[in-house]
Amino acid sequence: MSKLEKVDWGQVANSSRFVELASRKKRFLFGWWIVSTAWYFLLPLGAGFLPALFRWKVIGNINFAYLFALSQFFLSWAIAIHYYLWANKVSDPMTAQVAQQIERGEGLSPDRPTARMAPELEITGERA
Amino acid sequence: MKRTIYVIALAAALVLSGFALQPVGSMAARESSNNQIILAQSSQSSTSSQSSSAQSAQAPAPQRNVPSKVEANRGLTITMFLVIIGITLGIVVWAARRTRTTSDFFAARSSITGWQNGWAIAGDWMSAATFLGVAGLISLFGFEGLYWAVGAIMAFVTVLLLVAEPCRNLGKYTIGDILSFRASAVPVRACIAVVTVILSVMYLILQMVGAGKLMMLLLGVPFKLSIVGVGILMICYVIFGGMIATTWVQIVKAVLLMCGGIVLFVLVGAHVGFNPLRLFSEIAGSKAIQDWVQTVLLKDAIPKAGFDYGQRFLEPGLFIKSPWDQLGNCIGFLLGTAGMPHVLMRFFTVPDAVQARKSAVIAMFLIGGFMIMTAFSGFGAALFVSPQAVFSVDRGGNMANLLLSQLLGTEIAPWFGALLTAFLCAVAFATILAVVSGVVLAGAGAIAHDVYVNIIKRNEQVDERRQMLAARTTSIAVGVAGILIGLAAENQNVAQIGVIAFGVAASGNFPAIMLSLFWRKMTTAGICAALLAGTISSVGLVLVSPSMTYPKLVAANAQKLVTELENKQATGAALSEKEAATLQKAKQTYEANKDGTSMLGLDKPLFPLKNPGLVSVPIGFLAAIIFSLLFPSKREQDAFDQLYVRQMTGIGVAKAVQH
Repeated sequence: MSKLEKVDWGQVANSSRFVELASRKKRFLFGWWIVSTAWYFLLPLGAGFLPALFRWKVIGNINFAYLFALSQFFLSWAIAIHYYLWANKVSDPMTAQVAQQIERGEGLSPDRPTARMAPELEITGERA
Repeated sequence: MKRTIYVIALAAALVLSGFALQPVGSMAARESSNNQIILAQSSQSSTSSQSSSAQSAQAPAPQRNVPSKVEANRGLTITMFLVIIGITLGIVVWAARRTRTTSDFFAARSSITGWQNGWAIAGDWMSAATFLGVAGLISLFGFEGLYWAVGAIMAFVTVLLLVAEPCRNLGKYTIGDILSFRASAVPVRACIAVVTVILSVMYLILQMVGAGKLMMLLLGVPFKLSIVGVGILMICYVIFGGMIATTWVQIVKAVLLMCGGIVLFVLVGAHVGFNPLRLFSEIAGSKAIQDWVQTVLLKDAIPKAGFDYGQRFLEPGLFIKSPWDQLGNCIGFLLGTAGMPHVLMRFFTVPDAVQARKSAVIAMFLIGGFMIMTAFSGFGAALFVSPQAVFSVDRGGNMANLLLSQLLGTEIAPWFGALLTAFLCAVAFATILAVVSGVVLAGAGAIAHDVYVNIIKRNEQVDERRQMLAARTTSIAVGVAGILIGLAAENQNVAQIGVIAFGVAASGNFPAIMLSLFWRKMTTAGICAALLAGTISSVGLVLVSPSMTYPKLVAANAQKLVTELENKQATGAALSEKEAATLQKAKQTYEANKDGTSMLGLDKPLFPLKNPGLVSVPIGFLAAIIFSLLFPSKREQDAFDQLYVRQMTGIGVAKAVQH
């Protein structure tokens, strides 16, 4: 815990490794979140404004609305699996590198304690 | 340990005495007014579909002996109840020995694995509301009920991608930990604690009133007794077993409920040869369903020529007519779930972000599979039990799955039907217990951890013993508050509360959390503004929305009916006995309501939508942004680097749990 107090977070946050991790992660997470949200919102909007399409009987009595609702489940599962695999392959190793960088002392500034530590830091460390 | 056993025995005795009271046979029939409770949103059910029209449309499904009420075999059901309560109390005794510190109490020592937590989260979501409520909505409104099934799974995409891992990386026990990471602790923790307690109590009321109504319908246990029974059991679970017991009760219950769901799915499937095409073509061809859609849902007195009323049941728009309202619901689901304290709290029970991610993924598969099966059984209930029969037992449709199990199970063998129904009743009860325990923990965490330890005693070290004492005391307080308000809410329609709760979580908590995590300029003022604005706008908009009762509108509708019937009379046509009764009733309704106003003294709604999300979520975000920019803080902006690195990487978390 003592080590954490000496980390110069600004330096870590601007290190190339972290910048790359953060931007890739943000792009992935928000990108897929927007995809899933848009797909989800299309359900009520489509049902309301494109009734003809949503009433179209695709197979037997099964209509487009039902298939679209079902597709939401498969999309969410696909995103979950995709994220899980992506995180294992891409973001977790990058995260480990950033952590090692801090462990090794890059980004540590022994002379300059950080401005203020969040009180939770100490709680997390000592009182937990 | 003696104390544990003493209290447990007391609770069991109370619950038992409830069963010992003789059945109130006609309770189910009499209690038809206000049962749209378990699924919060079922309030939005067209209150217009009056029971009179439903009864007139009663047409039993062909060649089936459709049950007119849930007849759970008392002996069997009580045995099941006792077995389940016994198992859960066993878990509590086991967990009590492992609950020594606040970390055990609030976060199960962060020792739950991804798989276990996945099942526990799924357990939270496979609640009475989804198992009974969603199936019920589908059986009454067809396709429209699917929105809730889809919402349950899509909400978890947001949880998985945006909140699960950062929360695990930054938080310890509560949302307050995350929000106050770089903001001023006192105002932020005070605000979020108030919001969390409000949300917890709302959720408790919903669940407890649901439990009370369920027990009354199933076993004729008096409402007040079941609330007190549920409340005492819940407090026992929480104060002795804390998060460890709550998690394991949730897991056990999720497994049982999943089994129940699979059995129902197989029963319905077997009848249609596991062919969805056949299920849907039979639904479209069902005389009872066609009749239901025509007379009750669409109110066509004379069928429109060539209109396929059966197929209409499979199309959207029978329940919530306005797409904007439906979109508001979707927003509430999507963002509200990600801001619910008891949902986020589940992620503090795993050791790191990798396990948090894993548990969310597992939960999504479990919830999705369960929802698809529940949707299937909901359609099955519409086909085999008929919407009319479901509606006549409970207007919110909550008994659909139980009626279905009774009907299809008994067709295999009478004992099987009785056993299956008893099993599902007991599991439905267990599910409420498990959910309320988690909610009590979230509320207690906000008071004990945020307010007591981090505000009142912020300048001193509070030893573990006193923290535990505070945690247990506040759990009892939250639980007792839930019991008392639940008792007071007996004759209230509490369904709006669910809409408000999701609105508050979506428009207050969600913007506060998201912007704290990802926006450098977010400050204390912004967090507090988001929480306050989100809460006030959600509550306020619901209070002036069409969901409230507006007596003048009720009176106007009654007046219309009176005029119509009197015109008919004026032409010389004699009114039938039923029409005369309707006229009489409409006149009374008019008299009773003509001078009334809504709770806020309004004649008609000021806000056109039932769900506030479409407006209150932007208000929450805007308030956060405006107030952060108005009251910038250099210190908080500088601390963003630390927060950002730690929420992305989890540095500092692994050490904390390996101590």
